[in-house]
Amino acid sequence: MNATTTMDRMLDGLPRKAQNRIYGVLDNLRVMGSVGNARVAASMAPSVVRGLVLGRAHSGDAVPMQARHAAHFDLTYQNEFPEMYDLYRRAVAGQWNGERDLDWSTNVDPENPETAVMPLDYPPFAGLAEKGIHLNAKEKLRFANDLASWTLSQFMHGEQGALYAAAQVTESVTWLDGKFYGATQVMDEGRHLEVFLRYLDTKLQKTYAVNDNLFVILDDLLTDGRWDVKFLGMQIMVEGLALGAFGTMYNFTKEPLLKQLLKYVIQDEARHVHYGVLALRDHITKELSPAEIREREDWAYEVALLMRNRFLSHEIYYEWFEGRLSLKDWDDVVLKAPSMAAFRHLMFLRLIPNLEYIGLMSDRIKAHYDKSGLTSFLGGKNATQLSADDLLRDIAAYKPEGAASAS
Amino acid sequence: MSAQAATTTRGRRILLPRPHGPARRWSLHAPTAPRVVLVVDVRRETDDATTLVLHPEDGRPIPFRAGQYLTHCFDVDGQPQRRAYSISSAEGQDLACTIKALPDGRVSQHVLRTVRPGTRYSVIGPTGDFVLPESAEAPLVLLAGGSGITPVISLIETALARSPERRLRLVYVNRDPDRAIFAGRLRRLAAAHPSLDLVEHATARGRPDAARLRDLLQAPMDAEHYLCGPAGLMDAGEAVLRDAGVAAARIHRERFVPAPRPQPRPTTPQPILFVRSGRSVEQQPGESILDAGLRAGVALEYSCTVGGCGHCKLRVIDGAPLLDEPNCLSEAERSTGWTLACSACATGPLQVDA
Repeated sequence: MNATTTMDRMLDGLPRKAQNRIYGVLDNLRVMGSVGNARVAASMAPSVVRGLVLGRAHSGDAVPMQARHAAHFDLTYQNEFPEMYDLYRRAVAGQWNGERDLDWSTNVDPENPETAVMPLDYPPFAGLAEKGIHLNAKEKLRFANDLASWTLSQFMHGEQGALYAAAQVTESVTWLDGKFYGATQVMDEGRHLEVFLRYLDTKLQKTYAVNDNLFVILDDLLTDGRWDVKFLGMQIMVEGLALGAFGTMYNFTKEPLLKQLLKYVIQDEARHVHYGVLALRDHITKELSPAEIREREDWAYEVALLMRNRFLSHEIYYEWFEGRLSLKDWDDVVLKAPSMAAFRHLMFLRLIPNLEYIGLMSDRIKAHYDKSGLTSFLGGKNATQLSADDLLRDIAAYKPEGAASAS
Repeated sequence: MSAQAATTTRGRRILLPRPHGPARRWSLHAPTAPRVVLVVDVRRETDDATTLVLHPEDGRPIPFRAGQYLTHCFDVDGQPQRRAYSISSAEGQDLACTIKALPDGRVSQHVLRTVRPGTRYSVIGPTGDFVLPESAEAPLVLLAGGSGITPVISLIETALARSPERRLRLVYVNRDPDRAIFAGRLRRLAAAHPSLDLVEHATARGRPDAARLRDLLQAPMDAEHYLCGPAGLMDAGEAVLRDAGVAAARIHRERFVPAPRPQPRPTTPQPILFVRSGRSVEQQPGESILDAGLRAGVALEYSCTVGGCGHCKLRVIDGAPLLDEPNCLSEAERSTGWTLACSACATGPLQVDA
């Protein structure tokens, strides 16, 4: 608290751009400093430098990410996991076709409130007003559409990362049934990337660059050589994040094409998390040493906090409010927004029970989650106990506080 | 404040560039893979018209827009046969197509005689741009003759479901209005929606001449006009509207292409060169240019596959393909070297621009 006050005093009186720059640097340092486990900090540091310091996500046409995992080539085909094979069969039967099964002739009219991509009860207009930013009706509509484009753009970037991670995991997993299943997930992620890209490209016609913090997580996952960390990151953490984010958007949007698209994607994600949980529970409980479990617990906790606190739409801030509001005030507005609360609720509702089920919720780490107010989700249903229909029902049943309508 | 052009800040990119708009890949393939459907209900509309209610066998919806049609692929006496029949249900409702049996219609008689609940067959599509305008408020004036009512009822029911007060005028021309397809359904609709003006014209009193059509089609100038029925009726209706000063863009005609006349096809393989893709293909007996190209992996656009929509139109560089008639190509298109990949086949060495 004192540190914040000191920082506020330091920044006070400086030009807005300088304030934002200093706030940004200190904030990034805080991210690094907040990681208590030195091994976790060391493993994440290169990605943090590439993403937050060098801003590699914001220039050039592509970023090389050096993968360091080993492909596991099976010579005897004896290592079986029937539950995974069952998931594989379900995945094969459940394949949908982004071209055929979605009505791309739907006219997406961003100005029609009856079919709003992002209704006006989603953006944090009340919080902005408290900071002295008042938008007129036309600006609110445009802002809501920009926020929809930003959100869907991040979904799309996440899906690109998921595509590569799924391919890497398929190479490195040791169970043959996991390789079968992984192949379907690669297809799923490719299709998700396709439909989000197509929606942005042809319907919203505005696409934002990848958010720095999302880039850090994806870069870290794709360059880590340990298959179980990739698995934990992709199948549990990022898929949990995706379920929270997709579920929030699914609840809010009134646009029928996007709603159907998200429904299909959420059904796939349910399977992906189930796969991750199956694979990791065995591995973590039977094969890892206490020190290795501790490191993975800490890593998952840090990533959970990153996901909770760091998706703050800075690209939208710079496009709309740089010069009218400080970055710090913007972060404050976004963190307190009802839509953000909905996102956090849906994300942790699924994430915490899954971490508990796979064995990454010791009393030691539980105390940290408790401090962050996240233990209320303990004891919930994990991915092995939930069907895709259960997930959609839970998502639809959640009514975010402060939202007039979430149908 | 927000500006489309401000794509960078602090030297960092915020928005991704889209200098050429949407990517070309999205328009490469229409949703054309055949889907197996199960007939769940067969409704006899008149002595010679039948509605088939269809459920996709894989359980996934077939998204369609009011006014579109499906290409129905039947096996008739061991021969594959394709016909385009319009969707007659409103958007959001169960998929249904209505088929009028022609006295000599090989496929339509097959449907009338043999298709029952439980029958399975394939459909391609939907296809067609005979669809409602973007505006949900513009008045609609519709002229339908005989079985031309099938896409029109879908347009009317969809328009009224979106805006129950919307102004619509339907001029429905038939031999006997009491025995016309959907006569009862339309009258109930008009009773429930005072804004729907239903005008039934019996051809027993004579076909409507230009003066009568002018009288029947009276409408506000901002109306969108839809014509579907026999070519003579549509030509007359269009001429009356154009004379009255209605803009061509506000007149929508359903392309109606009768079944192709059978003609002898080559019985030996024929070489086709797809010049732009650099692929050489042997067209097998019975194949169209489209069949041969797709088999070889050439990215060809297509949709209805029965010569009715023009999506598979391509230019002939060298050779003389045999084109099934009738089809939707105009005289101008034929004279400048266009053909339809779905309805044409090579009869000797052929080069096409694809």
